[in-house]
Amino acid sequence: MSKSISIYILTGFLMIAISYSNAFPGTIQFTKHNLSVTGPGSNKAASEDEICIFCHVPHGGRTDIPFLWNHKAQTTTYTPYTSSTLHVTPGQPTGASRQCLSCHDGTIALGGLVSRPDEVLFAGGIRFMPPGDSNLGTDLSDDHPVSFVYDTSLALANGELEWPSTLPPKIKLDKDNMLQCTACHNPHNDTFKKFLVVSNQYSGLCTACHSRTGWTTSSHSVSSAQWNSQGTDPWPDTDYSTVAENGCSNCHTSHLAGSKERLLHYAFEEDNCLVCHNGNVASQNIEIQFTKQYKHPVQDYTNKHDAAESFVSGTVPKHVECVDCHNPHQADNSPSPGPPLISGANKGVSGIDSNGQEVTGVQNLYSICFKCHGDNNVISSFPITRQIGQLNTRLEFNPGNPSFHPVQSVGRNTDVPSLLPGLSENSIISCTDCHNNDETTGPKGPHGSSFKYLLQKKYNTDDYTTESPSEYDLCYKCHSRSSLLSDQSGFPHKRHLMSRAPCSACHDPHGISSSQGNSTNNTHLINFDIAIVQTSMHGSRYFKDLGKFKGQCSLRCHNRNHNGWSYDEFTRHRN
Amino acid sequence: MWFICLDRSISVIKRIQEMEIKILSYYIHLINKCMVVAIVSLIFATTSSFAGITGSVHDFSTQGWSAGRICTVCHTPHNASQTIAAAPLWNHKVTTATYTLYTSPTMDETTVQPLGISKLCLSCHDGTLAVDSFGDQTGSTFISGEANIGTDLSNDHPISVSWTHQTIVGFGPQCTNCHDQIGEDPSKFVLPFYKYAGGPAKIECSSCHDPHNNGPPNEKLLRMSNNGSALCLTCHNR
Repeated sequence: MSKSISIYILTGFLMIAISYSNAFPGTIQFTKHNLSVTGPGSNKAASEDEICIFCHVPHGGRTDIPFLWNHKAQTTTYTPYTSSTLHVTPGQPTGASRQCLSCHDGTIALGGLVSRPDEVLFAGGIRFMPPGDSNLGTDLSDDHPVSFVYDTSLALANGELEWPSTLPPKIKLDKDNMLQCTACHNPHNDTFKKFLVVSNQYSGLCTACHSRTGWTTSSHSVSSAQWNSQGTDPWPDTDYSTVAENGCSNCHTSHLAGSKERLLHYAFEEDNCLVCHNGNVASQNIEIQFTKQYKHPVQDYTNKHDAAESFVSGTVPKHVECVDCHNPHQADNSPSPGPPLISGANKGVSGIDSNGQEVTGVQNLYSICFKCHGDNNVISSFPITRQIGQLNTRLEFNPGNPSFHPVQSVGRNTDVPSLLPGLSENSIISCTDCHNNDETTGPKGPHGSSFKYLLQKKYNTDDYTTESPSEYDLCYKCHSRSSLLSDQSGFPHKRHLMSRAPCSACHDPHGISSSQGNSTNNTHLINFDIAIVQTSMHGSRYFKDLGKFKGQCSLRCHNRNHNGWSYDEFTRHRN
Repeated sequence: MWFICLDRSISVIKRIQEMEIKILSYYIHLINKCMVVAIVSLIFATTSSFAGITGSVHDFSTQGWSAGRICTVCHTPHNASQTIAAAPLWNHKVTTATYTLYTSPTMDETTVQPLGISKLCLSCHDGTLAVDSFGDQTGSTFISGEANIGTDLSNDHPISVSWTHQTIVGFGPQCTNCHDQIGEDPSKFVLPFYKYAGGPAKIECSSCHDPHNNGPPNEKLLRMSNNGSALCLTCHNR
């Protein structure tokens, strides 16, 4: 009798111990995969008390798949994941993935078991996986690919995957070397939530396979920036509070992705960036830049950008997205060593070099611009009609040209008296020295500007513009206004400016291609705006370079004929 | 052995991150499993007087072919079959079937054709021999329904596989799931293992099932209740 009492006391004590151990998700009883009546989740049986039975049965289970599977087979045909940068072609799910999907595609009743003639009833009358994160549906094109062989040839072809032999022990491929759901998920253990096999804090799970070039030092990998709780929560599905902790999950999701290819959170490409780059996580508000009149209109295009696109193919549809200029896997906040070299913000971006060849990781900033403003040109009309028309900026800036702004190399002109201190004839500038944010305190880069041509400062090209520091603010950024107004270069700039001729009437700021211009008529970026500069009474319209600080013009401007008028540094102007 | 096993387990735990939680979890789990054993013992104590071979599904005494006897379908006191070594005074014909074995992509053990004691069960339950083929008689009553698992064992829990002690905590069951004391005979476990000629202890049909029905009633002759999948979780520390 006393023995019985002691057993009851012991039992009571151990019952307390069991209820205490419920807090630990390392065993299946305490996870949502305990679908029995004792399960902790909202999807659970009304009275069935066996746990294993919802998936496994010791006798008489399915023979088409392993693991003594007891859940009924789906007849679904799935839409597999696909992408232009994928080096495998996943087919229909196989192996363990098929088993997971026998609940998680939502087509088979949760209580539909091989070993039970009648469907096991669930609490609340639930029959199928309710809509939500756990119901992947039958369209798997928005989910990480599964059921493909992950071998060395795949790692080689991809180039940014770890060798399968180096995967951590907890990340397992199946015996056919296939990656299945079970590579990332352990259905029996929810220690790391979402049944992950290891924690994905700091992208620990993703980077076990994905070794993206430059990732470990990129801002998205190391930044401790946090959300300021304004606007949209950028990380609604994780428990992590910094950019670094979220890592890959800043932009990507493994399931039910908004943009199917490349599994981004949002369907509109730029939303994946701007949800943080709006001042709420990243300190600079890029989003507001795109509300300006002149901008790289990333919000105007959807599903046009393709990570596999080739800008030498001639087939890239017109578009612009953040990732055309930025590589989120490599970008960091390191400054540019100086033009023409890129800053960390543009690391790892593809581009076109000065020879028109495609490069995978640009060194020079102009290479990025040449993708869309070079041989492959999204600009189809001339903003200013000039004597020589050229829209291809790669050709305009070619170092072999008779004149060009020194973007690709040091300029041709060895005597430029107007250059402000800090600049010289040996200086090189970047596209972004002119094309940039008009706010001095805002984020750098040509995202948006209130000035035409997406320029950093005002550059008035209208005829009869009354000269002032502000009208030609852009030019005066580098070229001394006082030097120009004192005609230091020999040319009577003052008279022309006072006559309300804009800089652009005579100068073509990018340059004149050597295939169109020559070193007699097109030095000093001379390429007349023919809406302003007319032909002379003798039918001629030219500038002629007569050497250092000397030249001659025949043309008609503001109804004044210049019949071979020449200038030099001594006389400034002579008829 | 219990202490050695425990000591080794703890040393492994210490190598794992989140050490403190793991250790706490371990001890709680240990207590948890003790409780299962305790409850099972309790159930045994309270049910053994009701269960037993008489009246169970293995009691064929009401069948005409049994001549009203229970034991002789399987056992005989004399002239027992020698086909299976150490078979308990076997009287039933022994199957000669070749089976399709269970395989799985994640199983480390290699399955082999069923050995010894499981072949005794299969002599009725593979459906190749009549239930009433025992002693000198060749019968004609074959097993049917879910009790007939056939010769395709690919959808049946593997049998005649050896249990290897797991060395990774959290990956195998705890010592006390099986061991009550150091050096205990594995055939005395709640879910017993079976040894053959000095080899490792193996899991057989009778690891889970007690053909004499000494376990909880109405549960497929299981040795312990599978409420809450307790039987499965005795070995599978999921």
